[in-house]
Amino acid sequence: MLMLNSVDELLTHIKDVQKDVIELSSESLMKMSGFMEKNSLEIDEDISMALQYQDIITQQLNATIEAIDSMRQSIEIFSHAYESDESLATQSMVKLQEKLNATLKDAKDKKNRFSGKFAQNNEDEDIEFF
Amino acid sequence: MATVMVVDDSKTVRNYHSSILKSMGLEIVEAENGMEALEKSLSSKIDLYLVDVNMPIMDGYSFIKDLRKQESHKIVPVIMVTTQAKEEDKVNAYKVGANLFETKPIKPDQLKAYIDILVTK
Repeated sequence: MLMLNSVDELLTHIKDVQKDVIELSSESLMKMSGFMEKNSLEIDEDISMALQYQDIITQQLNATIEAIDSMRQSIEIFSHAYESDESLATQSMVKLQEKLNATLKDAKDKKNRFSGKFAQNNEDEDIEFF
Repeated sequence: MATVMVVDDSKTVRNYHSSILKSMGLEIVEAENGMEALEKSLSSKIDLYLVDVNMPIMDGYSFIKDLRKQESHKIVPVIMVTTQAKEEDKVNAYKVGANLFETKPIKPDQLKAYIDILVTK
């Protein structure tokens, strides 16, 4: 099960990098927004888009962090089952594969869900007030 | 002067919305999640809510649902601005009582126009 330990370490590393990217991108835009406020600069359309893209990036990365957590949990359950009874390995492997596939499906769904207008085919759809 | 509450867990987004609202001469109250917004809604007179969907502790849907239970907030306008783009998200928003559901990124002039209509309505 050394291989699974390596996979777990790799997933943990990817998760840490993603968290850092979220923090850095947020900090970078906060600095830009602070500069604009200090110099009384009005937010134009391009800056507005940049600020909102950061939120989309954050949501996307958070969704993949959730997927990583779910994968690590499934791998951990498999490792425990394997350690306690090697004869169950094949059965556990099938279950692990099913769980990882479900995680992947959920992650792909969230990629679309958190894409904002990029996921929509028609940006100019009618707005309805209620 | 009208007051708008910005409810979003992202500081960047709160800053962005606040800048737009300030340029419109509006007062701003900020909250990081639905729970904080609910508490603040009890002590402040709010004319419009600008709410995110996906937030820790209490999400935007639960917040609006609870907000609408308050007699004083049954008809206060609520705009949801979110990265969530599925049709079911929009349907959920209107079901819990949002007046408008918009997907990011939204152009500043467009947002200003919505706020203007809903605050002065």
